[in-house]
Amino acid sequence: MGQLQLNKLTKQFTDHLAVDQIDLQVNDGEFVVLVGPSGCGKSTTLRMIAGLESISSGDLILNGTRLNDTHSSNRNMAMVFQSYALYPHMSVFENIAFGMKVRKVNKNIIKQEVEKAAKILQLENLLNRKPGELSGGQKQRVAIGRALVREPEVFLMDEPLSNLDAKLRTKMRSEIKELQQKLKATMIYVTHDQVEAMTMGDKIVVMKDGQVQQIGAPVDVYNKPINRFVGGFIGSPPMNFTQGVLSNEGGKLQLMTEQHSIILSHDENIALQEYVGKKLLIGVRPEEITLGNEGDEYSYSFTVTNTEVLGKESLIFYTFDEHNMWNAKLFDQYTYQTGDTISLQLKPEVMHVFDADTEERLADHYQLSAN
Amino acid sequence: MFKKQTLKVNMYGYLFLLPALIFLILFTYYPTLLSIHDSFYLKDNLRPEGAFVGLDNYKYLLQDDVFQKVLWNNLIFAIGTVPTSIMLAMFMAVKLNKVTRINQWMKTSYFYPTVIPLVAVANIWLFIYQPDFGLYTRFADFFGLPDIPWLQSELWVMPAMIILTIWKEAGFFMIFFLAGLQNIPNHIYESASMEGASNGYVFRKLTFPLLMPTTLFVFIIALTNSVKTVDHIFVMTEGGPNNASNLILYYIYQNRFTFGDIGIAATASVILIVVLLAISLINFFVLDRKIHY
Ligand SMILES: Nc1ncnc2c1ncn2[C@@H]1O[C@H](COP(=O)(O)OP(=O)(O)OP(=O)(O)O)[C@@H](O)[C@H]1O
Ligand SMILES: [Mg+2]
Repeated sequence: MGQLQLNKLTKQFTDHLAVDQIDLQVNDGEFVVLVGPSGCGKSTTLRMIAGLESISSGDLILNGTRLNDTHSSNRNMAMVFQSYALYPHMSVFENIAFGMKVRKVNKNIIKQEVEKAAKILQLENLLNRKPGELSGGQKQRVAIGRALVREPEVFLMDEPLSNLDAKLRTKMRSEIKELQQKLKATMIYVTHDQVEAMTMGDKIVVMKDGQVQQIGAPVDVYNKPINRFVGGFIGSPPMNFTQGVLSNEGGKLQLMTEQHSIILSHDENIALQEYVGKKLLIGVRPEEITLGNEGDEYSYSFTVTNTEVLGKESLIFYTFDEHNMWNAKLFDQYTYQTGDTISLQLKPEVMHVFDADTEERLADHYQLSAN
Repeated sequence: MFKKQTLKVNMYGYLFLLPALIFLILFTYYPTLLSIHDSFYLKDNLRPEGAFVGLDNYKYLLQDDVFQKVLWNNLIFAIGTVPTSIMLAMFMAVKLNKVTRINQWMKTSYFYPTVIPLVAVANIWLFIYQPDFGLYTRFADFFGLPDIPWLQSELWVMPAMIILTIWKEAGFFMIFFLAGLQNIPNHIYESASMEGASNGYVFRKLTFPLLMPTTLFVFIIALTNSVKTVDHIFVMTEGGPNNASNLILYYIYQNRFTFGDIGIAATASVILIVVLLAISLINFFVLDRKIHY
């Protein structure tokens, strides 16, 4: 199995810098997810690793060997394409066997290998079908089977689940993860779906405009998003934000926003007091907002714009101020109507504090805690 | 009640088909029937009203040396033009499929012969094949190749026609193959490339089989064209020398308008129609069912 390293990997198309100096270490047996919005360069990065796209600058290193100029067939990697890229005129068996036939593997061994893969992926009854006679999930499995028999050092997958419906996606998500753990495979997986990233990755790489924003374990990225973009991208529904000026009101640190004075600390001596008089950006996750009572500490009143009941949870959309629409995810069923007033609690310890200009997360000692 | 209504709806449908049907009957089926009728008659400029002779015209044609030669010529012409122009077209399409500026130019220049009328093409090639000062002669002189009396020799006239036809048609067929290649998703090539398949292997195992429906379609067109197009014979050889370049359609024309033998022309037409019908049946039964995947 393989250990992969990307050093300042860059892709410059004629008029577009698609991937900008990516550094990444993928350990043996690790499941790494590249995640980011459409057009951020995930596929291009993966294709450079696969050898389907030339590398403009930087190094690609597998187990200590530089691969920049190695043909894709000699990189010992297998790729699963978003479109599956199955050969439409060949049966499932022939599709899976294709690579081995190219490498002139003995017929009996081919048969064994295909049957082994088919068994793992529950394709045994479909070996004689053509891709046109398969469902999306089955095609998906054939594509994975084709990668499997390659026994590659690294598996590459480019949005393999995006053509499936929500239910099948959830199922295949855990199947792929399970398979990866069983094979102890090194895997790089591209998606623009943050739920896939959170649930599947040992390590996620959040990208934007060709640049890496943050690399880390999913929970770490969720708990400590490095900037406003990551905070807004990872987590669903997205993080709420507001800007304000920090002020010291009689020993209390408060954020003066357009309409609210948000209490951040009763202790004026915490590190954050350095920022008094400066602008800060505060982010709060919808699921960390709780229902409050008027007059309670940390409770503020807002006007509801919409309520969505998702079974046992409710999403409340409300006006934070003229410029910021917020939402809160409350556990239970609520039936607030448009225009209702709601009292919600914003505790300091659930707030993420960012610099208002750079939108970067402030260092840990500036972050708030319960007091 | 309900039945009446569907009938009415159907009636409207047929009504819309009527104009096309009228023209088909007037200009295709009626003349066809007339030809079949005339093929049983001895009918020429001297006997415009015709005399019934049963199968005599057919018997005559089957024993006529010229007709046999013409059939043979047509077979040679088809064998000479169809596979070569298809292979050439496929080769050009595969080579030029990648979108680059040079390829755009190449495609245009290969397609160009297609838009020139065949009569004009024939004139161009008349100049190429001209003995003593034609383009080929000068080319041959320069490279020390033997001069060839293309249109004057019974041996060379058919190759001359075949070369001209391939030159004219390959670019046209290339367009179909380019369209066919557009339908093959690029990802399967990338996948094959990652598996280490060579270009030749990819062509044999992926491109060629996936182009099969296009190839069959082009095959039918090429085959019918080899019987249908004779414009160049009018301009270049009038079937000569000694009927060496005569094809069935030109033979029909000669009999009807040069020799005024309506009966024989009609009989040859019927035979031609049967051949074309057979080709379109291949089309119907093989092509329409295609290769399914
Ligand atoms: N061959 C190319 N030539 C020029 N620009 C390209 C090419 N391929 C991709 N790009 C550009 O590079 C950027 C990154 O593309 P890429 O396909 O890597 O995005 P992505 O993150 O995979 O997006 P998606 O989630 O939509 O698949 C895009 O702006 C795209 O327009
Ligand atoms: Mg992509």
